[in-house]
Amino acid sequence: MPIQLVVEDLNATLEDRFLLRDVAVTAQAGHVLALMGKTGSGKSTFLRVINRMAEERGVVVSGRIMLDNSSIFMQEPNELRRKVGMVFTEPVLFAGSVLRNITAGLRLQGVRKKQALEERAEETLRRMEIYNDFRDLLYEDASRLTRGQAQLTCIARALAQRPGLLLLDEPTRLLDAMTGMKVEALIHALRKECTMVVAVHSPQMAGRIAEESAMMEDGRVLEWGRTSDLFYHPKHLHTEQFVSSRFL
Amino acid sequence: MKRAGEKLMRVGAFLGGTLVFLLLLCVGIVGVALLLVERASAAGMLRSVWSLAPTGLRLTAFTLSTAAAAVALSFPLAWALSTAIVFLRPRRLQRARSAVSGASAIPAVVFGYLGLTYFAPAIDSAWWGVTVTLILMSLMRHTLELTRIHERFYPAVEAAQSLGAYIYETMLHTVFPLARREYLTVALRMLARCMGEGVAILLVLSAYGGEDTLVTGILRAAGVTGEESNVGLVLLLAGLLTALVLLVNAVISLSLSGERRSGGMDEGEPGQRESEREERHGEEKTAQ
Amino acid sequence: MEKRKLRNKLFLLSVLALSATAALLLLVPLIRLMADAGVALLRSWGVLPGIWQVVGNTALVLLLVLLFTAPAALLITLWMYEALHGLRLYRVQRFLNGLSRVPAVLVGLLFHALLGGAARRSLWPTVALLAVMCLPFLVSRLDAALRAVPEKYERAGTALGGSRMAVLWMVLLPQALPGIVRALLRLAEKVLCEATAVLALLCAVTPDSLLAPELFRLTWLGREDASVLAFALAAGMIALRLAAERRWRSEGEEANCRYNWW
Repeated sequence: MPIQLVVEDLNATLEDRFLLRDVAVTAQAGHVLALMGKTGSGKSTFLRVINRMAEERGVVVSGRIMLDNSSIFMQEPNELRRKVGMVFTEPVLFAGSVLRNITAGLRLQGVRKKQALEERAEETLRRMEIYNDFRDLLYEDASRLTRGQAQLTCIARALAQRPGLLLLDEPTRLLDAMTGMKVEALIHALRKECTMVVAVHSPQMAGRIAEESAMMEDGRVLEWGRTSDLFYHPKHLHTEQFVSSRFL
Repeated sequence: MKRAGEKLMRVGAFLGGTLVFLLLLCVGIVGVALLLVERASAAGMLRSVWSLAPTGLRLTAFTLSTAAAAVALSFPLAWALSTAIVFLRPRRLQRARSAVSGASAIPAVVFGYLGLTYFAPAIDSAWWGVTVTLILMSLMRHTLELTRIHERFYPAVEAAQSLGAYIYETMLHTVFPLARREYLTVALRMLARCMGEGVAILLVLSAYGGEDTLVTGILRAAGVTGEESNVGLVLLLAGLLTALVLLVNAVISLSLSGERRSGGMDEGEPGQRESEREERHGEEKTAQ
Repeated sequence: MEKRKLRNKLFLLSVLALSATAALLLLVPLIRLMADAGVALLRSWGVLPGIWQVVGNTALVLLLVLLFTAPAALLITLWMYEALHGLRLYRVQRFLNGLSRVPAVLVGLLFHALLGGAARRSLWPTVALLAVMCLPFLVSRLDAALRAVPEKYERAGTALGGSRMAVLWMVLLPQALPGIVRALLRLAEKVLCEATAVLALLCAVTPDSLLAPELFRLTWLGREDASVLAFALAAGMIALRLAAERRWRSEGEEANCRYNWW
């Protein structure tokens, strides 16, 4: 089930350096929130703060981050990460077969029955509408996959845990145009099942996939709201420059 | 004119490189080896070699057992230290890695001094004296190499953690399967280094007497320590050492060639580009 | 869940305990060495007589080895870069790696067999031994440094209309410079630390040779000032390594530290 994400007064520091400052955004349940901004604007940090991975790297976080009215700081990090899936820019596969990769999260939870794992993998791939492409690859070594297939496997791995919120860190930046479009179509199809926060590398992608968008700069959210509002009535010069791809 | 100069330089680099490579690396070493055998056979020493075989075997056993024990004991320590550096406190990684790298630059002979002065008086057995010195000597090198390996798998670790894995699960299910061949290669390299160590072990063994590794046996038999030289024993021990090193090298080569693509990155030999690795994979497939 | 938490705690505890053991195992003797060296220095300022002769010899040998090995290794590396590809390159790289793993004592013995008693009369045999011994190692390192340069630089140079040699000299080598300098510094470390091969070459422990064999000699003779030389040698090598890493840290290594997502 999709869950709502509410972030208020979020600050993140690392060794007295601000990484995020006074961030406040909301992603409605079942919506896609796109994070726009230049490299180093704090998009990836924001995503890693949401699933509490940043804290493990020494980042000090303060503020309110609520998932369906329950603070993430009241939850055990590993439990939280089962509800909040994450997909990285570079597809990272573990050793073993494609099936082993897709069901890695389930196996971590102690599911060992082969049949149960196979069923979950099939169900996940069907939901993603890529079962036919992957049916013959399930028992292949994951290292043989192309980069696009690897990224789809990573998304399936995150979705197999049935998360309520999915964080995607520039998931199409390293993919070819066709596979990128496939991933975008997938994001469209998945919004019934989970809320998504997507760091995007191009404004066009935000326009295609997101109901809401936030423009980030130097760890701050300059403005956020409906994507169409940001595109047609930007309040900030940086937003205007970014959406019109006009950097001076 | 410029073009001709460039062509000349290119041809020069090619010919010069080929010549130096062949002369120094192949012909030189093989030539010297042949000379050594010729001198020994002229002096009638090859016949006496076989009578020294039991000594050679005893020294081989001592060398192998101490080196293997040192690697087996120092590997877990180094693994834990590199895990702590890379996965538990990554922001301090740079400083910690520098400290480990600095410590790994300490010369072996200094470890010989430490072993002889501080450890030998407290340890009764020569075997343990040598093993402890080898552990000290290889610990930081092990740590440095394992740290490099662990750094490469950091994205996979992050991916596992994003699925809710604890650090022990991450190590067990993600890092071990991806890095097991590299672990083996590091351990084998360290084994070869420990077996080939000379002066440090000679210093430690001077506190005990009666025991020798292959290398210290060669050094003693060659007259380094002032004892009478025994060319037959030198030849035998050098042959055994060569055989051992060749064996370890063969296993390292096998282990490296068995490496496969995994974790979204190629674990091939460092010093090869992606395109070259792919080319090599392609050629190997064709050869098959 | 509790079971997993407990296992994780046990794992972390054992990792920390083993790490502490490893650090102590190395630190305790090094601290004792520092104290002993300090005491030896305080007792007498006249320790290590004749050490400057050894330092001078070592510096001379190091310089000569660098002079002989560096150009030869660079030539071989460029040849490998230009002429070898695919399986042949892979085989040569493996061969070089194998050669650099040949035990020092064997190389020393081979040179002793070749040169006999002449080895003790001058520094040249030592220079030749160390130069040949370090050559495969240096070629491996230089080759790795050259191939660590991303292909995009080479492509960019070629796209600008540069000839092969121009791209090599003006694009590739400057990009690989940190790696090349680090390789040369590692070579210097190897030369400064090598004692086994030198002793096997000389088949005797001679005074006033190089720093590492001199430390062996002093320790073998049970001299108190060995602690001073041991500490100086350890501290010097650590300082050299740290300075090299600080000054010549490569771009590639920076990129390999994947903690820069902020």
